[in-house]
Amino acid sequence: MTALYAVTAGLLFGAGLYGVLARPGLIQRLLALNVMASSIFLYLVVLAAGDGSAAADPVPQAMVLTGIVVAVSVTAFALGLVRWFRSETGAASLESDALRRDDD
Amino acid sequence: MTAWTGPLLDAVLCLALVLVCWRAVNARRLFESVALFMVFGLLMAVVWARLGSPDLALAEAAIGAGFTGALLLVTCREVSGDDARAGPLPRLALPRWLPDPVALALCLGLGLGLGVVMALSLPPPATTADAAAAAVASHPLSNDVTAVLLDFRGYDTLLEMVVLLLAAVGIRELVDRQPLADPHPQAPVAEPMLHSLLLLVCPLLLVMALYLLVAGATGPGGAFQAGALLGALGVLLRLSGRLVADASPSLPWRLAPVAGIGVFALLAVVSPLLSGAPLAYPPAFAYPLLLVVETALTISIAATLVLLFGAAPGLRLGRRR
Repeated sequence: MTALYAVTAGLLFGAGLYGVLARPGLIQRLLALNVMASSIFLYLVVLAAGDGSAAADPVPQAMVLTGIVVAVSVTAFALGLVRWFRSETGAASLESDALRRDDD
Repeated sequence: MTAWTGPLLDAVLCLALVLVCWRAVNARRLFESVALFMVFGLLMAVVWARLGSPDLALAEAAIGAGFTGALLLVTCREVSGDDARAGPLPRLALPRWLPDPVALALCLGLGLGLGVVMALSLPPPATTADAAAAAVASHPLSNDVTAVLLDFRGYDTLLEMVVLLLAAVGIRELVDRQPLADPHPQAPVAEPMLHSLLLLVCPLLLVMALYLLVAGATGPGGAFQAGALLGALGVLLRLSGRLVADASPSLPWRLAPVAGIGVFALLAVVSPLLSGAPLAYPPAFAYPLLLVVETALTISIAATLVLLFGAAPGLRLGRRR
Protein backbone atom coordinates (compact mmCIF):
# COMPACT_ATOMS: atom_id res chain seq x y z
CA MET A 1 0.00 0.00 0.00
CA THR A 2 2.67 2.51 0.98
CA ALA A 3 4.78 1.59 -2.09
CA LEU A 4 1.85 2.68 -4.30
CA TYR A 5 1.73 6.05 -2.56
CA ALA A 6 5.51 6.44 -2.93
CA VAL A 7 5.26 5.87 -6.71
CA THR A 8 2.34 8.34 -6.83
CA ALA A 9 4.48 10.90 -4.98
CA GLY A 10 7.19 10.47 -7.62
CA LEU A 11 4.71 10.90 -10.49
CA LEU A 12 3.20 14.02 -8.87
CA PHE A 13 6.71 15.43 -8.51
CA GLY A 14 7.34 14.81 -12.22
CA ALA A 15 4.06 16.41 -13.27
CA GLY A 16 4.75 19.43 -11.06
CA LEU A 17 8.26 19.78 -12.46
CA TYR A 18 6.85 19.69 -15.99
CA GLY A 19 4.38 22.42 -15.07
CA VAL A 20 7.08 24.63 -13.57
CA LEU A 21 9.27 24.22 -16.66
CA ALA A 22 6.71 24.22 -19.46
CA ARG A 23 3.80 26.50 -18.55
CA PRO A 24 4.12 30.18 -19.46
CA GLY A 25 1.72 31.65 -16.86
CA LEU A 26 3.29 32.61 -13.54
CA ILE A 27 0.21 31.52 -11.58
CA GLN A 28 0.25 28.13 -13.32
CA ARG A 29 3.91 27.76 -12.37
CA LEU A 30 3.14 28.61 -8.77
CA LEU A 31 0.38 26.02 -8.82
CA ALA A 32 2.75 23.40 -10.20
CA LEU A 33 5.27 24.30 -7.50
CA ASN A 34 2.56 23.61 -4.92
CA VAL A 35 1.98 20.20 -6.52
CA MET A 36 5.70 19.45 -6.15
CA ALA A 37 5.55 20.47 -2.48
CA SER A 38 2.51 18.19 -1.96
CA SER A 39 4.41 15.27 -3.48
CA ILE A 40 7.27 15.75 -1.02
CA PHE A 41 4.77 15.92 1.87
CA LEU A 42 3.18 12.72 0.59
CA TYR A 43 6.52 10.90 0.64
CA LEU A 44 7.33 12.18 4.15
CA VAL A 45 3.99 10.93 5.46
CA VAL A 46 4.42 7.58 3.66
CA LEU A 47 7.76 7.27 5.48
CA ALA A 48 5.97 8.03 8.75
CA ALA A 49 3.02 5.71 8.17
CA GLY A 50 5.00 2.45 8.05
CA ASP A 51 2.81 -0.52 7.18
CA GLY A 52 -0.23 0.79 9.05
CA SER A 53 0.03 -1.66 11.94
CA ALA A 54 1.85 0.66 14.35
CA ALA A 55 0.88 4.27 15.14
CA ALA A 56 2.35 6.73 12.63
CA ASP A 57 5.54 8.54 13.65
CA PRO A 58 4.45 12.03 14.75
CA VAL A 59 7.69 13.87 13.86
CA PRO A 60 7.33 13.76 10.04
CA GLN A 61 3.62 14.58 10.43
CA ALA A 62 4.47 17.68 12.46
CA MET A 63 7.06 18.67 9.86
CA VAL A 64 4.52 18.29 7.06
CA LEU A 65 2.03 20.40 9.03
CA THR A 66 4.73 23.06 9.30
CA GLY A 67 5.44 22.59 5.60
CA ILE A 68 1.80 23.15 4.62
CA VAL A 69 1.75 26.48 6.46
CA VAL A 70 5.09 27.53 4.96
CA ALA A 71 3.82 26.56 1.49
CA VAL A 72 0.72 28.72 1.90
CA SER A 73 2.86 31.68 3.06
CA VAL A 74 5.12 31.26 0.04
CA THR A 75 2.09 31.02 -2.26
CA ALA A 76 0.49 34.15 -0.79
CA PHE A 77 3.69 36.17 -1.07
CA ALA A 78 4.42 34.89 -4.59
CA LEU A 79 0.86 35.78 -5.67
CA GLY A 80 1.49 39.27 -4.27
CA LEU A 81 4.66 39.42 -6.38
CA VAL A 82 2.73 38.23 -9.45
CA ARG A 83 0.12 40.95 -8.95
CA TRP A 84 2.89 43.52 -8.51
CA PHE A 85 4.69 42.23 -11.61
CA ARG A 86 1.44 42.46 -13.57
CA SER A 87 0.79 46.02 -12.46
CA GLU A 88 4.33 46.89 -13.66
CA THR A 89 4.36 45.00 -16.98
CA GLY A 90 0.68 44.37 -17.71
CA ALA A 91 1.07 40.58 -17.92
CA ALA A 92 1.11 37.69 -15.44
CA SER A 93 3.64 35.72 -17.48
CA LEU A 94 7.32 36.05 -18.26
CA GLU A 95 8.15 37.61 -21.68
CA SER A 96 4.55 37.27 -22.73
CA ASP A 97 4.97 39.35 -25.89
CA ALA A 98 7.81 37.18 -27.23
CA LEU A 99 5.77 34.07 -26.42
CA ARG A 100 2.70 35.33 -28.21
CA ARG A 101 4.77 36.16 -31.31
CA ASP A 102 6.26 32.65 -31.29
CA ASP A 103 2.83 31.14 -31.16
CA ASP A 104 1.68 32.75 -34.43
CA MET B 1 -14.00 -2.79 5.77
CA THR B 2 -13.22 -6.05 4.03
CA ALA B 3 -9.71 -7.00 2.98
CA TRP B 4 -9.89 -5.76 -0.60
CA THR B 5 -11.72 -2.43 -0.18
CA GLY B 6 -8.72 -0.74 1.44
CA PRO B 7 -6.23 -1.43 -1.37
CA LEU B 8 -8.94 -0.64 -3.94
CA LEU B 9 -9.58 2.74 -2.30
CA ASP B 10 -5.82 3.41 -2.27
CA ALA B 11 -5.52 2.54 -5.96
CA VAL B 12 -8.48 4.75 -6.93
CA LEU B 13 -7.13 7.62 -4.82
CA CYS B 14 -3.65 7.39 -6.35
CA LEU B 15 -5.06 7.26 -9.88
CA ALA B 16 -7.36 10.22 -9.19
CA LEU B 17 -4.49 12.20 -7.66
CA VAL B 18 -2.25 11.71 -10.69
CA LEU B 19 -5.02 12.44 -13.22
CA VAL B 20 -6.35 15.54 -11.43
CA CYS B 21 -2.83 16.84 -10.89
CA TRP B 22 -2.00 16.27 -14.56
CA ARG B 23 -5.11 18.17 -15.69
CA ALA B 24 -4.46 20.97 -13.18
CA VAL B 25 -0.91 21.42 -14.45
CA ASN B 26 -1.92 21.21 -18.10
CA ALA B 27 -5.31 22.90 -18.38
CA ARG B 28 -5.35 25.64 -20.98
CA ARG B 29 -7.49 28.03 -18.95
CA LEU B 30 -6.24 29.35 -15.64
CA PHE B 31 -9.63 29.02 -13.96
CA GLU B 32 -9.73 25.32 -14.83
CA SER B 33 -6.27 24.84 -13.33
CA VAL B 34 -7.25 26.58 -10.10
CA ALA B 35 -10.51 24.66 -9.73
CA LEU B 36 -8.72 21.35 -10.33
CA PHE B 37 -5.98 22.34 -7.90
CA MET B 38 -8.62 22.73 -5.19
CA VAL B 39 -9.94 19.26 -6.04
CA PHE B 40 -6.35 18.02 -5.81
CA GLY B 41 -6.09 19.52 -2.30
CA LEU B 42 -9.27 17.75 -1.18
CA LEU B 43 -8.00 14.44 -2.59
CA MET B 44 -4.75 14.98 -0.68
CA ALA B 45 -6.82 15.49 2.49
CA VAL B 46 -8.46 12.09 1.92
CA VAL B 47 -5.02 10.56 1.35
CA TRP B 48 -3.75 11.99 4.66
CA ALA B 49 -6.74 10.44 6.40
CA ARG B 50 -5.99 7.10 4.68
CA LEU B 51 -2.36 7.27 5.81
CA GLY B 52 -3.44 7.73 9.43
CA SER B 53 -2.81 11.48 9.81
CA PRO B 54 -6.15 13.14 10.63
CA ASP B 55 -4.28 16.27 11.79
CA LEU B 56 -2.84 16.66 8.32
CA ALA B 57 -6.17 15.92 6.68
CA LEU B 58 -7.78 18.79 8.63
CA ALA B 59 -4.94 21.18 7.85
CA GLU B 60 -4.82 20.25 4.17
CA ALA B 61 -8.58 20.64 3.71
CA ALA B 62 -8.58 24.04 5.44
CA ILE B 63 -5.27 25.51 4.27
CA GLY B 64 -4.13 23.50 1.24
CA ALA B 65 -7.45 23.27 -0.57
CA GLY B 66 -9.51 26.03 1.02
CA PHE B 67 -7.25 28.96 1.70
CA THR B 68 -4.75 28.49 -1.15
CA GLY B 69 -7.71 27.95 -3.48
CA ALA B 70 -9.35 31.19 -2.35
CA LEU B 71 -6.07 33.08 -2.84
CA LEU B 72 -5.61 31.63 -6.33
CA LEU B 73 -9.24 32.33 -7.29
CA VAL B 74 -8.97 36.01 -6.32
CA THR B 75 -5.80 36.44 -8.38
CA CYS B 76 -7.38 34.42 -11.19
CA ARG B 77 -10.33 36.84 -11.29
CA GLU B 78 -7.95 39.78 -11.40
CA VAL B 79 -5.96 38.49 -14.39
CA SER B 80 -8.96 37.00 -16.20
CA GLY B 81 -9.22 40.04 -18.51
CA ASP B 82 -5.65 39.62 -19.80
CA ASP B 83 -6.46 36.90 -22.32
CA ALA B 84 -9.30 38.91 -23.81
CA ARG B 85 -7.02 41.95 -24.12
CA ALA B 86 -3.82 40.42 -25.45
CA GLY B 87 -4.94 37.03 -26.75
CA PRO B 88 -4.53 33.74 -24.89
CA LEU B 89 -1.08 32.64 -23.79
CA PRO B 90 0.43 29.71 -25.64
CA ARG B 91 0.02 26.46 -23.75
CA LEU B 92 3.76 25.94 -23.47
CA ALA B 93 6.83 28.08 -22.96
CA LEU B 94 9.62 25.62 -23.66
CA PRO B 95 12.86 26.70 -25.37
CA ARG B 96 13.21 25.70 -29.02
CA TRP B 97 15.90 23.08 -28.36
CA LEU B 98 13.59 21.20 -26.00
CA PRO B 99 10.50 19.86 -27.81
CA ASP B 100 7.44 19.17 -25.70
CA PRO B 101 7.45 15.33 -25.92
CA VAL B 102 11.08 15.25 -24.81
CA ALA B 103 10.40 17.55 -21.85
CA LEU B 104 7.35 15.51 -20.93
CA ALA B 105 9.20 12.21 -21.14
CA LEU B 106 12.11 13.62 -19.12
CA CYS B 107 9.91 15.00 -16.32
CA LEU B 108 7.57 12.02 -16.05
CA GLY B 109 10.47 9.58 -16.42
CA LEU B 110 12.30 11.36 -13.65
CA GLY B 111 9.15 11.32 -11.53
CA LEU B 112 8.48 7.64 -12.14
CA GLY B 113 12.12 6.73 -11.47
CA LEU B 114 12.08 8.78 -8.30
CA GLY B 115 8.83 7.11 -7.24
CA VAL B 116 10.20 3.60 -7.82
CA VAL B 117 13.42 4.40 -5.96
CA MET B 118 11.41 5.88 -3.08
CA ALA B 119 9.10 2.86 -3.01
CA LEU B 120 12.05 0.46 -2.95
CA SER B 121 13.89 2.38 -0.26
CA LEU B 122 10.98 2.56 2.20
CA PRO B 123 12.30 1.58 5.61
CA PRO B 124 11.02 -1.67 7.12
CA PRO B 125 7.89 -1.12 9.20
CA ALA B 126 7.84 -0.74 12.98
CA THR B 127 10.91 1.46 13.24
CA THR B 128 8.90 4.13 14.98
CA ALA B 129 9.27 2.79 18.51
CA ASP B 130 12.30 4.97 19.18
CA ALA B 131 13.19 7.39 21.96
CA ALA B 132 11.07 10.21 20.52
CA ALA B 133 7.96 8.06 20.40
CA ALA B 134 8.52 6.94 23.97
CA ALA B 135 8.97 10.55 25.10
CA VAL B 136 5.82 11.61 23.23
CA ALA B 137 3.81 8.80 24.83
CA SER B 138 4.34 10.21 28.34
CA HIS B 139 3.58 13.83 27.37
CA PRO B 140 0.71 15.77 29.03
CA LEU B 141 -0.76 16.37 25.55
CA SER B 142 -2.02 13.04 24.32
CA ASN B 143 -2.15 14.19 20.68
CA ASP B 144 1.37 13.20 19.53
CA VAL B 145 1.48 15.64 16.63
CA THR B 146 0.59 18.63 18.81
CA ALA B 147 3.12 17.52 21.42
CA VAL B 148 5.86 17.35 18.79
CA LEU B 149 4.88 20.71 17.28
CA LEU B 150 4.77 22.68 20.51
CA ASP B 151 7.27 20.90 22.72
CA PHE B 152 9.78 18.52 21.14
CA ARG B 153 10.20 20.52 17.94
CA GLY B 154 9.20 23.94 19.28
CA TYR B 155 12.02 25.56 17.30
CA ASP B 156 10.45 24.48 14.02
CA THR B 157 7.11 25.98 14.95
CA LEU B 158 8.73 29.21 16.15
CA LEU B 159 10.60 29.62 12.87
CA GLU B 160 7.51 28.72 10.88
CA MET B 161 5.67 31.59 12.57
CA VAL B 162 8.58 33.80 11.48
CA VAL B 163 8.10 32.63 7.86
CA LEU B 164 4.38 33.41 8.05
CA LEU B 165 5.11 36.87 9.47
CA LEU B 166 7.79 37.47 6.82
CA ALA B 167 5.28 36.73 4.06
CA ALA B 168 2.83 39.23 5.60
CA VAL B 169 5.56 41.88 6.00
CA GLY B 170 6.69 41.23 2.42
CA ILE B 171 3.17 41.73 1.06
CA ARG B 172 2.81 44.90 3.10
CA GLU B 173 6.08 46.20 1.67
CA LEU B 174 4.87 45.45 -1.88
CA VAL B 175 1.57 47.22 -1.28
CA ASP B 176 3.41 50.19 0.24
CA ARG B 177 5.61 50.55 -2.83
CA GLN B 178 2.86 50.23 -5.37
CA PRO B 179 -0.77 50.32 -4.31
CA LEU B 180 -2.41 47.29 -5.92
CA ALA B 181 -6.06 47.36 -6.88
CA ASP B 182 -8.15 46.11 -3.97
CA PRO B 183 -10.29 43.32 -5.45
CA HIS B 184 -12.59 43.12 -2.43
CA PRO B 185 -15.66 45.23 -1.60
CA GLN B 186 -15.01 48.47 0.29
CA ALA B 187 -18.26 48.42 2.27
CA PRO B 188 -20.60 45.71 3.55
CA VAL B 189 -22.41 44.01 0.70
CA ALA B 190 -26.13 44.36 1.46
CA GLU B 191 -27.47 41.06 0.14
CA PRO B 192 -30.22 39.67 2.39
CA MET B 193 -29.26 36.03 1.68
CA LEU B 194 -25.58 36.73 2.26
CA HIS B 195 -26.35 38.38 5.57
CA SER B 196 -28.36 35.45 6.86
CA LEU B 197 -25.69 33.04 5.63
CA LEU B 198 -23.04 34.96 7.58
CA LEU B 199 -25.25 34.98 10.68
CA LEU B 200 -25.40 31.21 10.39
CA VAL B 201 -21.84 30.40 9.35
CA CYS B 202 -19.78 32.82 11.47
CA PRO B 203 -20.76 31.49 14.92
CA LEU B 204 -20.39 27.95 13.58
CA LEU B 205 -16.83 28.63 12.34
CA LEU B 206 -15.95 30.29 15.64
CA VAL B 207 -17.20 27.33 17.68
CA MET B 208 -15.43 24.86 15.36
CA ALA B 209 -12.17 26.80 15.68
CA LEU B 210 -12.40 26.89 19.48
CA TYR B 211 -13.22 23.18 19.52
CA LEU B 212 -10.22 22.32 17.32
CA LEU B 213 -7.97 24.48 19.49
CA VAL B 214 -8.97 22.72 22.72
CA ALA B 215 -9.33 19.27 21.14
CA GLY B 216 -5.83 19.59 19.67
CA ALA B 217 -4.43 18.61 23.06
CA THR B 218 -5.95 15.14 22.98
CA GLY B 219 -7.21 14.39 19.46
CA PRO B 220 -6.96 15.61 15.87
CA GLY B 221 -6.79 19.39 15.76
CA GLY B 222 -4.54 22.11 17.11
CA ALA B 223 -3.38 25.65 16.53
CA PHE B 224 -2.89 25.29 12.77
CA GLN B 225 -6.29 23.84 12.02
CA ALA B 226 -8.04 26.26 14.39
CA GLY B 227 -6.10 29.19 12.94
CA ALA B 228 -7.02 28.16 9.40
CA LEU B 229 -10.72 28.01 10.33
CA LEU B 230 -10.58 31.41 12.02
CA GLY B 231 -8.74 32.65 8.94
CA ALA B 232 -11.56 31.29 6.78
CA LEU B 233 -13.99 33.28 8.92
CA GLY B 234 -11.91 36.40 8.25
CA VAL B 235 -11.80 35.65 4.52
CA LEU B 236 -15.60 35.34 4.50
CA LEU B 237 -15.97 38.69 6.28
CA ARG B 238 -13.46 40.25 3.88
CA LEU B 239 -15.25 38.93 0.79
CA SER B 240 -18.58 40.27 2.06
CA GLY B 241 -17.14 43.68 2.93
CA ARG B 242 -17.56 43.28 6.70
CA LEU B 243 -13.79 43.73 7.00
CA VAL B 244 -12.17 46.35 4.77
CA ALA B 245 -8.56 47.36 4.15
CA ASP B 246 -7.05 49.84 6.55
CA ALA B 247 -3.84 51.70 5.70
CA SER B 248 -3.06 52.45 9.36
CA PRO B 249 -4.22 49.43 11.35
CA SER B 250 -5.32 49.66 14.96
CA LEU B 251 -3.25 48.22 17.80
CA PRO B 252 -5.02 44.80 17.95
CA TRP B 253 -4.41 44.26 14.24
CA ARG B 254 -0.75 45.18 14.73
CA LEU B 255 -0.37 42.84 17.71
CA ALA B 256 -2.29 39.84 16.36
CA PRO B 257 0.25 38.73 13.69
CA VAL B 258 3.15 38.82 16.17
CA ALA B 259 1.30 37.34 19.18
CA GLY B 260 2.46 33.79 18.42
CA ILE B 261 6.10 34.70 17.98
CA GLY B 262 5.91 37.01 20.99
CA VAL B 263 4.57 34.37 23.36
CA PHE B 264 6.95 31.73 22.01
CA ALA B 265 9.96 34.05 22.31
CA LEU B 266 8.93 35.03 25.84
CA LEU B 267 8.72 31.35 26.71
CA ALA B 268 12.15 30.74 25.20
CA VAL B 269 13.59 33.47 27.48
CA VAL B 270 11.74 32.45 30.64
CA SER B 271 11.81 28.65 30.34
CA PRO B 272 15.57 28.21 31.06
CA LEU B 273 14.93 29.80 34.47
CA LEU B 274 11.96 27.51 35.19
CA SER B 275 12.97 24.19 33.68
CA GLY B 276 16.63 24.52 32.74
CA ALA B 277 16.32 24.41 28.94
CA PRO B 278 15.01 26.89 26.36
CA LEU B 279 11.52 26.12 25.02
CA ALA B 280 11.05 23.35 27.57
CA TYR B 281 7.96 23.43 29.73
CA PRO B 282 8.13 23.02 33.52
CA PRO B 283 6.17 19.81 34.14
CA ALA B 284 4.00 21.32 36.89
CA PHE B 285 2.18 23.73 34.56
CA ALA B 286 2.95 22.31 31.14
CA TYR B 287 -0.70 22.03 30.12
CA PRO B 288 -1.83 25.63 30.86
CA LEU B 289 1.36 27.01 29.30
CA LEU B 290 0.86 24.91 26.18
CA LEU B 291 -2.73 26.12 25.95
CA VAL B 292 -1.58 29.77 26.15
CA VAL B 293 1.02 29.17 23.43
CA GLU B 294 -1.53 27.39 21.22
CA THR B 295 -4.07 30.18 21.63
CA ALA B 296 -1.49 32.82 20.70
CA LEU B 297 -0.41 30.74 17.68
CA THR B 298 -4.04 30.37 16.57
CA ILE B 299 -4.66 34.13 16.74
CA SER B 300 -1.44 34.87 14.85
CA ILE B 301 -2.06 32.29 12.13
CA ALA B 302 -5.64 33.47 11.61
CA ALA B 303 -4.71 37.17 11.52
CA THR B 304 -1.75 36.60 9.18
CA LEU B 305 -3.81 34.47 6.80
CA VAL B 306 -6.51 37.14 6.59
CA LEU B 307 -3.92 39.87 6.03
CA LEU B 308 -2.24 37.74 3.33
CA PHE B 309 -5.60 37.15 1.67
CA GLY B 310 -6.51 40.83 1.71
CA ALA B 311 -2.99 41.92 0.68
CA ALA B 312 -3.50 44.87 3.01
CA PRO B 313 -1.44 46.33 5.86
CA GLY B 314 -4.39 46.08 8.19
CA LEU B 315 -8.12 45.60 8.39
CA ARG B 316 -11.02 47.28 10.15
CA LEU B 317 -14.75 46.73 10.35
CA GLY B 318 -16.56 47.94 7.25
CA ARG B 319 -19.20 50.62 7.83
CA ARG B 320 -22.30 50.89 5.74
CA ARG B 321 -22.18 54.01 3.58
